[in-house]
Amino acid sequence: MPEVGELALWTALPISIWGTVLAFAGAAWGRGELVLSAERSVQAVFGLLLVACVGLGAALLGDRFEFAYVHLHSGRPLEPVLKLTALRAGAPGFLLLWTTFLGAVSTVVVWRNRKRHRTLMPWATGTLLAVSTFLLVVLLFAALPFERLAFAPADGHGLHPDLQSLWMPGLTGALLLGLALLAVPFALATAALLTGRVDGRWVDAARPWGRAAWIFLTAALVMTLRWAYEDPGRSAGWFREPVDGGVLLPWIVATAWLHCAGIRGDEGRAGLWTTGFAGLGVPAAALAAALAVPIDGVAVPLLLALAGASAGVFLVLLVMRLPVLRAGGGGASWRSREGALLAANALLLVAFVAAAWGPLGAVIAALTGGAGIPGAVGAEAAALDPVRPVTAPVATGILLAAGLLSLLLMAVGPALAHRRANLRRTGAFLLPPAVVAVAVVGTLALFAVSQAAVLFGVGVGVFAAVSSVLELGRAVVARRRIRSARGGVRPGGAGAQEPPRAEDAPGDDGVRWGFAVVHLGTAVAVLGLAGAGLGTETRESVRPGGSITATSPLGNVYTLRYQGLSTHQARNAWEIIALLTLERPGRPAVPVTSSTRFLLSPPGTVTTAGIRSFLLEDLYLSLEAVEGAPGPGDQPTDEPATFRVRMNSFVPWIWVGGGLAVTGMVFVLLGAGMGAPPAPVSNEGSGQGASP
Amino acid sequence: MTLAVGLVLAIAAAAWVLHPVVAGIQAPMGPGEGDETAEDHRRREALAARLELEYDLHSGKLDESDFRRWTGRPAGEPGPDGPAGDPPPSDEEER
Repeated sequence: MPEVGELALWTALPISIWGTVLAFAGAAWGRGELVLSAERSVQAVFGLLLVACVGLGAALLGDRFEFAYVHLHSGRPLEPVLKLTALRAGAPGFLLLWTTFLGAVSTVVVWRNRKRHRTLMPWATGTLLAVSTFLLVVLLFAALPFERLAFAPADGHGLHPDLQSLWMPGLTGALLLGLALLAVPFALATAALLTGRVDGRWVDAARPWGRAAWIFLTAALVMTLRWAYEDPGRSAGWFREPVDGGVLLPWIVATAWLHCAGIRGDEGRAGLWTTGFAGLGVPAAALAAALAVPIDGVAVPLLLALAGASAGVFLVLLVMRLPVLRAGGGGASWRSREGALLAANALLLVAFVAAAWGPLGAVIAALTGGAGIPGAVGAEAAALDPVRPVTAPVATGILLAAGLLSLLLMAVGPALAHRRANLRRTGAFLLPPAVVAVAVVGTLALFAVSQAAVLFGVGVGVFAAVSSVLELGRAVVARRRIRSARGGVRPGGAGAQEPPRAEDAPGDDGVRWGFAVVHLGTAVAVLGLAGAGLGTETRESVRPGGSITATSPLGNVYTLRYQGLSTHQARNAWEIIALLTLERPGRPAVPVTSSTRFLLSPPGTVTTAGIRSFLLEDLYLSLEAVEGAPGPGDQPTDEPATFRVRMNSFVPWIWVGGGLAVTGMVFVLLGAGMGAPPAPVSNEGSGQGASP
Repeated sequence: MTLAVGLVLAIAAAAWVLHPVVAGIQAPMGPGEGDETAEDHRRREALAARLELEYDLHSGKLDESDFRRWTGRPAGEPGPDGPAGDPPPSDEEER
């Protein structure tokens, strides 16, 4: 099967090149048969890539160590699910997966638009295939997953310990799907620039794909944070060593693009921003891929080249169409909902650069063997580690400040009116959340919370959360008033005098309320991230029967009684598990475990934290050391064990907020319809006033 | 065997891709089903923007006078259209 996979990969390249050329030629000459052939190339390339993935998966599951990739990233003792996880462990596997996901998304996009957007689709198809072609060239000539060794070793090096997590398959799938979906707005924007049809029609076509990308990238971001959280060695280092520049960069681009794409009736300023952020889709995905794989070959420089080339070509097209894009501008004031969103996007752009600065500096330093770029870390910190690029403190500070300020503007935006806000009314809307935020921050300060970053983060989070809840309420009231003003009859409904209009399209409410839930979820997650800075920590050694008492910053007291050790022989690891019971006054005792696994492939140790979540805080337990730790076959010891107990305030809110945000965007997607044709528009009521 | 399977895959893929060119089967070109014209799109965007203003009015973010000024009609009146409303004043004008 691996041999068939390799043949499939080699077959995919000429077909992808053929499709790219025919898509652009067919579009330029108006030749339908060439375009259809290109569209079939998309399907064929996807099918062949799928075969290649199955081939590599079979090689991993079958312990085919004569393949260098399998030898480097897998090992005999690994469980089957971990062997398949090795598909993402190195550049060849990660790129193969990304190209396959891109092929899958391209196939669906082409199929769904086989009768729609036909002026744009041939160009978009060519663009998607061009990206695939580039990745296939990298795969075949710089990072071949099927490269053979001169002999077949008996075993492999094993899977990187950090990747031996149950979060990894879901995280990788969500990230790759998000990256692939982000290519769709890029392709449609490129098509719009090439054809000169730069009005909002391409945005309508791309919007559902951008929303879907945001859903998966947000899910990937939340899973990445959880993955890091469960590793005691990394749990305090969010956004300091983000694997995840890799996830954060495309997430920022998707967020900013959705803000632009949601602006109605101002196609000039918003159009330029919308097009510009769409153009960051493929570059951000390429940067994310470059940060997600080990720097062990020429694949990473080639990915950086893809980021540069795609951004460069797009920029040239953008500059060529700049007069057209700017001609439709004007209209809305900066003191409006649109103005606030665009200002938030400017800050997100700063956050993007800050998020990219450190990890990219580390990558460049590792590639050049030099000191990298100013403000980033040196080559030694980059290490040849697939999961730990490192950000510089200054860049992290800028990232956090820009992120929080953009959240503040996102919270202010919905309270502003479309086109131009009335300051008196806006002030009245913003006063309640501001008062609540000041009250909460003041209370925290009274309880001796002195970290300015925590107070600022909590203040912004509370302000945004309260604003979102109020906006939800306003949406309900406004909708009721609108219906009441129309006599309780939806225009176009039975007995209505008025014909159907776009503004009454189903899903309008779903989109508005969905976005309010997205903002609420984001605010709740930010509260969780800010509150995490309030944690307390206890480190104690106890014998079985002994107890540890931990008091949280919120004043809750928890007692952990150490019951003893148990041991477990897994396929790839010898595991010792510490069992403790958590006792609280008036509550039944509940078990908490933390374990250390001694891995066989590759040799190493991985500690898994025991986490008990409550409404406002987490109890976070990690086994640090055991005196006379039992080996395989030994009886459990009653020697003391050392535990670290952290009380992490508000951390559960990160997961709740992330879930809320994803749910809200799913509502938006379902409410608006996945690329549904626009509602019919009557001549009546059109073309006046609101959008000249 | 492996080579044969690979060859069959390659031939099948090539045949699938080449068939439209050889047989002259056309993909639809130009505006497709349900595609908007530029004018339709402009009209729909205008309607969507008006809905935003209507929402702002009923959620208390906008004065009735501003709403009338920018839409050219009173709230709740669906049409027929009056004259185009004034664009909002620029920041400089306001000052």
